[in-house]
Amino acid sequence: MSAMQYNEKIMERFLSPENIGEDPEADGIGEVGGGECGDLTRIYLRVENGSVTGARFTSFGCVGAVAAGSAAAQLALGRTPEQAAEFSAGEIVEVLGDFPEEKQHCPENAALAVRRAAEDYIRKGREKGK
Amino acid sequence: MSGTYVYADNAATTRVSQRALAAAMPFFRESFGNPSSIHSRGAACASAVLKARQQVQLALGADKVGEIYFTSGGTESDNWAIRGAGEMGERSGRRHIITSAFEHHAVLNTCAYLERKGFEITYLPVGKEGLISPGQVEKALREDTCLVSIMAANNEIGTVQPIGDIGSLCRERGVLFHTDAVQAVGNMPINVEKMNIDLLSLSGHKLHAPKGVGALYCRRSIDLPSLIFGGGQERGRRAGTENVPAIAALGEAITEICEGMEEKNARVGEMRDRLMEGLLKIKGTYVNGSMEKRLPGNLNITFKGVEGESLVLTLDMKGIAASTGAACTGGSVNASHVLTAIGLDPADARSTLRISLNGENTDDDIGYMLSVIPGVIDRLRELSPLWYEDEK
Repeated sequence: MSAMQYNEKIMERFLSPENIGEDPEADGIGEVGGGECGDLTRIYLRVENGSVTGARFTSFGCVGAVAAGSAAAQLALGRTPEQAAEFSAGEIVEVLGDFPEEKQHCPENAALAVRRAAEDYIRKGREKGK
Repeated sequence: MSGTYVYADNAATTRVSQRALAAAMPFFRESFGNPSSIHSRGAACASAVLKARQQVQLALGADKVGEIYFTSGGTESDNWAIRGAGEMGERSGRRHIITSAFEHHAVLNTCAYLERKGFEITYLPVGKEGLISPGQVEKALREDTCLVSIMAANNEIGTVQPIGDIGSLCRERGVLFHTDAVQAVGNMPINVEKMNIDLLSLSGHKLHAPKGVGALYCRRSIDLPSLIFGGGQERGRRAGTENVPAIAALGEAITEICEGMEEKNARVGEMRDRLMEGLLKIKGTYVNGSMEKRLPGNLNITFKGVEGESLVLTLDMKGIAASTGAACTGGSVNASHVLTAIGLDPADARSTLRISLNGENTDDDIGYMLSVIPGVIDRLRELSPLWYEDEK
């Protein structure tokens, strides 16, 4: 995969990603990957007053995975956890444009990480409520 | 440093040298004849092909000029040598081939093809140093072994194999010995006579000739069956009108690179060592494969937690061309078979950078890489969950 095969928005996002790094204080954490592929994306969400106020990501992955992780974290901000639990890859593609054919899993994985982070928060809330 | 561009991917391909380009140019618009034609334009081309054949013969230390055959490149030469030797073996009921697990795919996939045709292939394992020993070959030899094919130098980690010793062993045992010397020619001394090599593949574009041309050395005593059928070119063994400009360029390029090889290797080795010392100061970094038995320009280095594609494309943006050991496509990673063969786990194989220098690189290139790479590694590690885990 050469830089030419990624669109400009993906490359720009990759070169200057926002919302990076671990957040040990996160209220919900979602992880995707880590298998044979080696790709690993984690999303960290903080929730205050019923909405996502902080979102960070880490990614061991290609250019597409980093760009998608960064966009996913940013798009999660301001949503309710329930809305974040419905987050779709299409929303990342709306912001970054199309991914190369062999990189379609990048927005899918990033979106799944957001959903898992939101579900993690919701599940912890339920457990606390018990 | 804007405008700086350091090309450090010479194991992938090299820039065509001025001498090679000059050698090729007359055969595009002036002497553009077909070497098989008997008129003067054709004869000029036939002379050019003969001159190039002599130049390759000299570079390889071959006994006879007729032992050099021009091909379309290293892949064709490997296919031809292995399929041809297989066909010869089959005639006498010998259907066993020995190769190594970390050969180029041109060798591995040709062997796999023969395996499907009923051959038995022994893939010698390779340890973390990236070296095959003659003892391993000796143990694997059988009565029905028709060919041993071991690369002269590895394309990813640059480790140099004891091909002279393996050649002697094969000669003693009456088994054909082929070596894929695509990375080696011009970067280490090769002499097919002294090294008892029967078949040798080389590629033009790895030594400053154009892409699309290569050669196979085939010892005169071997009646190697053809791979490509047609006209009577290459003494009836490799059909197809000769790629005259590229062949002329290959002859010139191989002469040029071999003339200055000792001095170039010393200089390139010093640059590589300086780069290596600088990069090894980065935490969580190690070099893959033997440093003692290695091509002078190769540096294969793992930066733990740093994903290869992200690294290579960031370096490209900053004006450095290098390559990585794995590609992620469709959600699965094809980790380099070379790096996994020497024992790297998939994540480390994916965190590996190959820097390959040659005579065109300068001390300034090394300085520039040392000024850029550490910062890029730090930045990518900030993103990396694997690095956070390693840190803990």
